[in-house]
Amino acid sequence: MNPGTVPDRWQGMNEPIRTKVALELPPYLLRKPVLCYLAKRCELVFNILSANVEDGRARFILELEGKHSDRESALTFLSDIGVRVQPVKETISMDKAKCTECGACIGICPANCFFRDAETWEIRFDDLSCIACGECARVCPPRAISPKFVLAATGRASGVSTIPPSGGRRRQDLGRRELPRKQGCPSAACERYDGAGAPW
Amino acid sequence: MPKTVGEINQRIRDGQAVVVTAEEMIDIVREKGAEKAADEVDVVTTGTFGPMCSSGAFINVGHSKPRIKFGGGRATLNGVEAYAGLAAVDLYVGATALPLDDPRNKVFPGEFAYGGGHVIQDLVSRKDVVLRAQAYGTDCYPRRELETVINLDDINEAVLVNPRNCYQNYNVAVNTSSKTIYTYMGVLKPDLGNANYCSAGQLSPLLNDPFLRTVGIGTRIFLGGGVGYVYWQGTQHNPNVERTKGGVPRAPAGTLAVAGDLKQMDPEFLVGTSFLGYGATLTVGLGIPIPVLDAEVAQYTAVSDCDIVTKIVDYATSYPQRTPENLGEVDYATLRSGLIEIGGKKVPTASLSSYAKARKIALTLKKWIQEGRFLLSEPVQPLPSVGSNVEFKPLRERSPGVSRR
Repeated sequence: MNPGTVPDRWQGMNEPIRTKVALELPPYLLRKPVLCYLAKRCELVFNILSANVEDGRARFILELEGKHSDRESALTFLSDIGVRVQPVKETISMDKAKCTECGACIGICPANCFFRDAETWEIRFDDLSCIACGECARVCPPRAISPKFVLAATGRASGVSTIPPSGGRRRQDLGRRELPRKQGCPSAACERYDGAGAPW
Repeated sequence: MPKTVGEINQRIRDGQAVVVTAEEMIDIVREKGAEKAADEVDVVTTGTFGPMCSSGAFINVGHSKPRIKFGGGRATLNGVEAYAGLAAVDLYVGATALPLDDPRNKVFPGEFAYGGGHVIQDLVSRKDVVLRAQAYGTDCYPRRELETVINLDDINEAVLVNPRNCYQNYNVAVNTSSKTIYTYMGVLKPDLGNANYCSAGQLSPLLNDPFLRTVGIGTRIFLGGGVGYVYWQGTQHNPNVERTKGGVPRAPAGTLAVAGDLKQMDPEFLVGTSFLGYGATLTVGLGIPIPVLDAEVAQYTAVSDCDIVTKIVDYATSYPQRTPENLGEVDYATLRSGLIEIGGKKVPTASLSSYAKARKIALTLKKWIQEGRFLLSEPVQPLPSVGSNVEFKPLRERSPGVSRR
């Protein structure tokens, strides 16, 4: 989807915001198609920026698009089934003290996130269009870029939605195969899925 | 009226010298003409900041007790091989040297996270560096092994010596093949995915003195944040290339060999850098003051990005195979616009040389001269220029016993 364009069905509803979130799936969800349910149950559009499995846990960085209520319900759903969700504050970190203001990152970035300040000719970075591929960090000659997905300390980072404290239950409370609840889905999108298809 | 370097130095001492950067000179000459600009301006400062692989440092670490002779043995600095084939405790660490156990390109593309350039930056940053040496031992130098930390402030001499840098113009690198290539000109994406260039263009020292009228052996320069000197023409110095009407080389041409006391340099302008799949190197800041002796020099220093052209070279075939063809010419104004056109395709450009730092260097040098802290020097001897018999020769391989012809 073209950044900035919003499907008609979202117009006039809750302000649609693009946000990046980090998901951490516990071992018992490794084989579950969790992300499919984000689309099916919660009608969210998302872009998978990165995915990896390490230490028995799957980690995704997603860029979510959707109306506010759908996203809230998705985050509740994820929280309910035991997925740790954290907003992503930064996709990369640039150490300006190390940066030599060359342009190796400009030429390599597939999302055109780097550009030059027309006055000073210093390198600038546009976090919004970053797809967290990490190419810039690999090619940076002075190694001034780290592909860190800096997670916000709390859920309440600016412009990033939070997990409702009451709607979602803590992961420890969940049984291994307990079905996720439909509660807390303001758009009632999950009514269309009665849970029969959800294998966990 | 023509001026001499001596007269300009007197004006610097008197605090009356008019010093401008090569960027500022463009508009001055455009507005006032070369004659008037030459009357008004005394010095034009230039700058460049880019990876310069032919860099290194000679150091003398002092004599251990009992004594050791590195020569004929081996020495490493933070694990990076240093050249020990010198007198007892002299070493040369080259910018592209690597630790013995670096995997190089065995896992391609190699990272080259730490090399000789990084050792030099660590030394200049006053970080402790681990020196390890093995020697064969002699009656006068009995010691065979040494492991110690050294610091720039404790060793005797440390001299940055670069046999080739400050290239007068350089290629634009592209990749016409169907796979990504990893070069000293950065990572080049397939099918002309990007184009990398590496020159400060209108701020670049030797592009502001295309025939090397003022720069020669003994010229005092800004080097690595401190003061250095030109000691020779650089290796591969090649003044006899095709030039524009304004005299600017249309391809890589002149080079400089420079040296300076590492102890007074600044890690901001000597940065160890890593080129994915290629190697480690040192990114060096260098600036040259050009005395505006007459209108001709003024005209040369007014060169602007649109007057400087260079060749687009395919680093997938032409460069590695050393074939002469190129993909056309482009000027630096277009390169700096961020997009060039090659055979009808729009290709994004990026620079490996930092224009922001080049500007900072030219401004720093300007300040030094204005404050009277930096005087110009007249070359002891000029460097070979157009018409000299200097020839940039390729290597013609032959077996022993085969005639040179």
